[in-house]
Amino acid sequence: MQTHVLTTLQQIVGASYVLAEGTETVTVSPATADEISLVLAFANREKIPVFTDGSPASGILLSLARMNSIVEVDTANLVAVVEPSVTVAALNAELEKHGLMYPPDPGTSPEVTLGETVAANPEGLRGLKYGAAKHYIMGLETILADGRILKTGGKNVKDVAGYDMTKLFTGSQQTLGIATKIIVKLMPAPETKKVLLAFFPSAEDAGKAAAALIAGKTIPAVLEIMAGAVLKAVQTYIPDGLPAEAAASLFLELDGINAAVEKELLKTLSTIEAYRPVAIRTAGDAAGREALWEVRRSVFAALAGNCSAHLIEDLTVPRTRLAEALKAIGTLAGQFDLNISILGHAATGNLLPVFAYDATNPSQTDRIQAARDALFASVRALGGTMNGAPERLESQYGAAGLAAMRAIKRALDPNCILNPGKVTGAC
Amino acid sequence: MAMEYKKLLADVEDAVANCMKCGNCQEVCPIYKEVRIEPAVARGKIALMEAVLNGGLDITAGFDKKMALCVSCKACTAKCPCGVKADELIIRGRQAAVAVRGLHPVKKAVFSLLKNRGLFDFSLRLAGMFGPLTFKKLPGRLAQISRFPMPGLDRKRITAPFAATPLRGQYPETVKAAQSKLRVGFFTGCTINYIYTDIGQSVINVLKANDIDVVLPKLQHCCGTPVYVNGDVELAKIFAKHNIETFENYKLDYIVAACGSCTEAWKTEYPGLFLDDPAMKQRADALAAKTYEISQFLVDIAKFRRDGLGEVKVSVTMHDPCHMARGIKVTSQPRELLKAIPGVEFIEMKDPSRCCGAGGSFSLAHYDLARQINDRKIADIASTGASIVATGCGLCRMHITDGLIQNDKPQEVLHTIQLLDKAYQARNK
Repeated sequence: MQTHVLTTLQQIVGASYVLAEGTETVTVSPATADEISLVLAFANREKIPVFTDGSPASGILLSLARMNSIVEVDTANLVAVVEPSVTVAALNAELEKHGLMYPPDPGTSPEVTLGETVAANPEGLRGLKYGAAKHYIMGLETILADGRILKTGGKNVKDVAGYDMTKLFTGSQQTLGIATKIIVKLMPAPETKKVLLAFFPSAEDAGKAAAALIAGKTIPAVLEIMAGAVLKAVQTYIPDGLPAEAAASLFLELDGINAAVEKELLKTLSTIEAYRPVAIRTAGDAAGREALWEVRRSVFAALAGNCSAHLIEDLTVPRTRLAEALKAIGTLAGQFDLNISILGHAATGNLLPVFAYDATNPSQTDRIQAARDALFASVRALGGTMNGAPERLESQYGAAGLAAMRAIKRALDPNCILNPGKVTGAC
Repeated sequence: MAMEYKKLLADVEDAVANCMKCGNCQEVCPIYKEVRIEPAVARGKIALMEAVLNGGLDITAGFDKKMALCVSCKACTAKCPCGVKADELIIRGRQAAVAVRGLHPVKKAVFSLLKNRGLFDFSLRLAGMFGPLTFKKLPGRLAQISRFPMPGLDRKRITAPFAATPLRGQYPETVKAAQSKLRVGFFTGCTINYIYTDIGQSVINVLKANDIDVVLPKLQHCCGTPVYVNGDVELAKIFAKHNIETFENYKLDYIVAACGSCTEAWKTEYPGLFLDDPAMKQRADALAAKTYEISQFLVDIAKFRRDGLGEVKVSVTMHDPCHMARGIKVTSQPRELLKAIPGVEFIEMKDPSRCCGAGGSFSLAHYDLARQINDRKIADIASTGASIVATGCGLCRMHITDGLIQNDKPQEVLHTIQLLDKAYQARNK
């Protein structure tokens, strides 16, 4: 990295927060919105790409890790104001003191931050009942590519003047700006929670049971599916005797007023019974719930325990087509001879097939690519969508859709310095 | 030289590669929580080692400095889903840095003093005699503050005085119980021998009350952990060999230590140091198998007497030292000791096994950071409202005492064994 770049960045954030150990990438950790503004203005002038995650080959890697204060919890307006690196877990721990919660739970890691939820807009574990991150983000302070500071939205519930810029930035993967302050909507914490873990002989049975629950107007706060190789991995990771004959499981959390939760639990159990469950476990007290949650939370760790390489796809189908999608993934695994685990938020029809592979085996990586292409075709045929890859955007939104998105990108980031390549691909 | 450090790291290349860079270590790393930059956390350090292995980076002063940013609390290792033993890898990184760049001059001076057992013992006895000239005693707790600026010691830092007479000088080599049932060797460790002799006295009293003879081998020396974690593995081996030879000379049923790190040294470090020397490894294994931390020994092996316990009316919370909780995995036994004492009200604090920030010599080199980490521990202690903090490590006791005084908190820090000793004494009154 050129010396004048390092010197300037060191002047902005301080020498100990600029790291460039033998690489072309310099990691910068600013502490305030003003510092980020100066960093971006400089990068924009010099046309240096700025990334917010991953391991870029060259450019500035912007770490927001130092911006981790909860600025305000406004219990009267049910609103919190946070900096981007406050974790969802830390915010909820603070809110618990006030009997409140921030419902979207990305569910992947305790280190997921609010800033990341603005970037990626996950609907996560509680999506069905509580919605996605975008339904809770009321306002943002965003630093634009040229360093200008933009404020959008606010604490008001009705806020309709002008374009809804907050929604535009939410889910934009930080390609349009860097969020430095986030105003989120809060909800009262539920009075009661009950957790249920049911095991099924096949992924299809689990998929049908999930669809039947929703069609039957049960709205669990959490409805997760787990199928394929991951069950074995979890059995190894938490050896507390998950039933060996299970090929899939559903994980549910019901929450709300006590009497309602009891009634929903009975209804849920009777619905599930029709789909040949091999075992059902339920828990009402905190310790029992925690033990069942541990099974769900351990999935990535359990998969990682094998420590071969993993590739995670992200697709959504209408919930009525869930069983078909699960069957299609199972067929692909056989057809291409691949090890595929399925995790998913069954509640919203969102499935995350995880391909485990050996990165040094090119025949495997080729087969995975072929399987992903075939999967995309099946998902589209089922009326679904597959997230992530820019090359799929055009087939989903058409040429006009992609052109509109690129026009927005160019308007806000004319030099294409912010996370280049993400979302819209080329500028 | 270059080849040598490459080999040191190449040995652990596979272990380094197992880190999938998920960053779960960020959640638990006490240093990362304060400074929020990647070199602070295990993932960042492993990435640096990888860069050295791939030839993208040399072992520089920066590398050295970043490897030093670790309290060796093992929280990352306990958290890692891939089972990467990050704490050991970081020590390997330090070892490579020592091989290339040599030890830090201050550490080098301290370690060479430590190497000479006789001179070390003499110096600390002198320090015990003349300490009052340079340090001012603080009322109440075993605590002192420096009268003059001293190299390597933060001006405002509160430490504990060196004992006028070290523990092993206060007793004959064998302390007989009235009726002897067992014979154990007491590995005192430096902190208990030279500073907190009150802990050592309690260990001896409690063992005697349980009809156990206590042997204090005269020639025992530092366990070696301080030099081991700083990357001087060759010196650690010399200490290990010396201690093994010393304790082999006595006929002992068991060896006990009242410090998590010392116990871990005997149980894990010593056998691990002699992987290339089967005869020595066998001797280390034999002693490791009969070494226990004092609370573990009393609860699991000696089945301590519960009948002779008098009332001790205090409210107590507990701090689990890192090397107790994650090193030798002993957390239930000290609680069992406390719960057996009539009158003790036990209040668990939040995250009792979170590092207190002492981290051995870490707090000497990074006092401000060690203070920030400790301030969180002090807040957790204060919110229990307990009047006593029980713990199982002399250095934790010193660093938490410092934090309590700096934060104007009234609690006193004791070793768990001191409370058990009080209970036996209360019965005898």
